[in-house]
Amino acid sequence: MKSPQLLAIVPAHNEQKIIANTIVDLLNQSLGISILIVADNCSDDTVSIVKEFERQYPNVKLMETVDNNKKKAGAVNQAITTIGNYPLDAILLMDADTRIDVYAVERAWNTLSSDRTLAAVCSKAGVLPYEGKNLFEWFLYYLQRLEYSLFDSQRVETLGCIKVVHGMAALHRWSSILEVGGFDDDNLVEDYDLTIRYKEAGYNVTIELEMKAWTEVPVKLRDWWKQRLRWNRGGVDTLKKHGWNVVTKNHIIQHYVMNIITIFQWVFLIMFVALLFRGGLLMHGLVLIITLLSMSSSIYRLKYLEERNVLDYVFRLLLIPELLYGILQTSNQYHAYYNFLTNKKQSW
Amino acid sequence: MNGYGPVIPATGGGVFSVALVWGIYSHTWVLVFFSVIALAIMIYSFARLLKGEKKLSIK
Repeated sequence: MKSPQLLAIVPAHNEQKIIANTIVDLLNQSLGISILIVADNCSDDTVSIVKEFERQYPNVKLMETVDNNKKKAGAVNQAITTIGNYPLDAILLMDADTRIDVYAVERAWNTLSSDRTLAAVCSKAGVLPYEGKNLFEWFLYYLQRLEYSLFDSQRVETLGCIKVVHGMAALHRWSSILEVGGFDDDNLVEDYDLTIRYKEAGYNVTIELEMKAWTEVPVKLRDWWKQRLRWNRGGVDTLKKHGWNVVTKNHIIQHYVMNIITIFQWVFLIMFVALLFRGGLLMHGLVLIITLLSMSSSIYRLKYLEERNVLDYVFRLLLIPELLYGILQTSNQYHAYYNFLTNKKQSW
Repeated sequence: MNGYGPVIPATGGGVFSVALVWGIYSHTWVLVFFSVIALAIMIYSFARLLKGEKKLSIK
């Protein structure tokens, strides 16, 4: 059987610490793939590191962006334009700070090639271990570790028409990405926008759970807030751009429904805590049992965590850590809504 | 990421079931109403997950 023509495009902006690992992961793939590192306005040693690989491996190439001020999306678009009409089967779009499993490309290709209606297949989204020693940073890291597995379980819920083909690692059919015109480089969440355009063009998108990838997450609250503000603001901007249509209607409804549920949850919790303090509520054993039973679905979802341990279950069962994290998420969401309604410019 | 907008609470139906029990116990029907809706969404979401997993195992 003829080997597929695959190319990994990795945009890299000052990634000297990790770019070598990323390239090695790609070189070690069980299914051969050419590698194009797109150095985007690098001022560190990223370019020289990649050049060294280029000298040693014929399937590693370096490209430097020209006058790109559109971040990752602009870098990828320049690469797509440069490649032009080269006869590829698929491209792997991958962040430079992402590590992938040795079988990731092969698994993704098997899924993509098995169904002509698929435009893209994204990986399972894991989180790289935290190596610092700060307790607060570890706490924030841990909550994101749990959150990312929740994202994966939600993708399985919507198998075949997942909400976002995320940017950390996804295999895109070359003809499909050319058909929709690559990334919208003015979009804050270009992967979400691309996914919607795939669906509007009649394609499906899915997740391949055996395509395993891990990424770094922000562990400082300020960085986390900035990242999420971009995600949340980008989300509503993208829905506004596309408007109400057959693809976006469920996403728009989801905003309303989830906000009603979230507000209800917080109002109830405030009432609950107030009554507990006034001694007006007895914690009945039955309430505790019902609570635990109704949490079984969220405990079940922990199966999407790679290398899960007892602490993961403790975190979830305690309820409080993830409730606190929920307050952060909701606050960030409302900050994004406020910025959207006041038309405030959102930077990366 | 799927986080480009509000997502279902990581705590699942935990909080809403307490609200439901409390609502029934104290005859606060507005509490019962909202918690039933929230729990129905949680159950629907879980059922879809199991359906997705079934599809994956058939594949």
